[in-house]
Amino acid sequence: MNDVFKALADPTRRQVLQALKAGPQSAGQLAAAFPVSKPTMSAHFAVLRQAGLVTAEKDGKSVIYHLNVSVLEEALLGFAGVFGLGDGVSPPQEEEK
Amino acid sequence: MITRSVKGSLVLATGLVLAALTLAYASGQGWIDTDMDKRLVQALIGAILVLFGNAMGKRAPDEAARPEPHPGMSAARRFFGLALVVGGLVHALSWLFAPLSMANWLSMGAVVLAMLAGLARVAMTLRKPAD
Repeated sequence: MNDVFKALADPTRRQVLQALKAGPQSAGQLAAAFPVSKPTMSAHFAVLRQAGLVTAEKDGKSVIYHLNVSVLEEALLGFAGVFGLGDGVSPPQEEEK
Repeated sequence: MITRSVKGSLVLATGLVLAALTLAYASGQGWIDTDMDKRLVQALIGAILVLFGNAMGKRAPDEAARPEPHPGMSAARRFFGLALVVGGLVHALSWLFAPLSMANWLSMGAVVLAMLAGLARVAMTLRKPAD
């Protein structure tokens, strides 16, 4: 559960999850929708995968991400968005250092 | 996740049977009100429904490796799970707080409505052509 809270604490990751609610998307499509570098986006995907909030499926050269949340996790996602949880945190690349 | 395996489900079922036996014994001894054992067992059934509904939107790692039958199925499954969670909560709360004459109808109505809503959403998703 700790991984889930960590994943939901970042606004970019929450936006990725919101985008995936509409349906599965490729890593490229998702990365293009956010004003962050590809390595940063890749780190965000890794955090989401580790928390089990998304599943990745290989489709040729691209990776397709699917939303994989329980009802409770979806509710937490909504709450975190409403209360702006972790809106001032640094991106994952900087957290790793 | 406990609700996604046969072993987990058996543990839950055993827990439910043990709770029912304990409550029946407590009721027989006069430790709790005669209606209370029935109310608590039904509330437990509602809680188990909430657990299963919660897990429904999430695919286990082995399932996640398989492609979805339809792109919209994930959203339909999440909706079905939410409907079951709400149905389970209404089931549990109605058995805990509503008069006994109403509790049965309220709880069954909520669960049947949740099932119908979930199944309707799945049927609508499958009827839509995949993009």
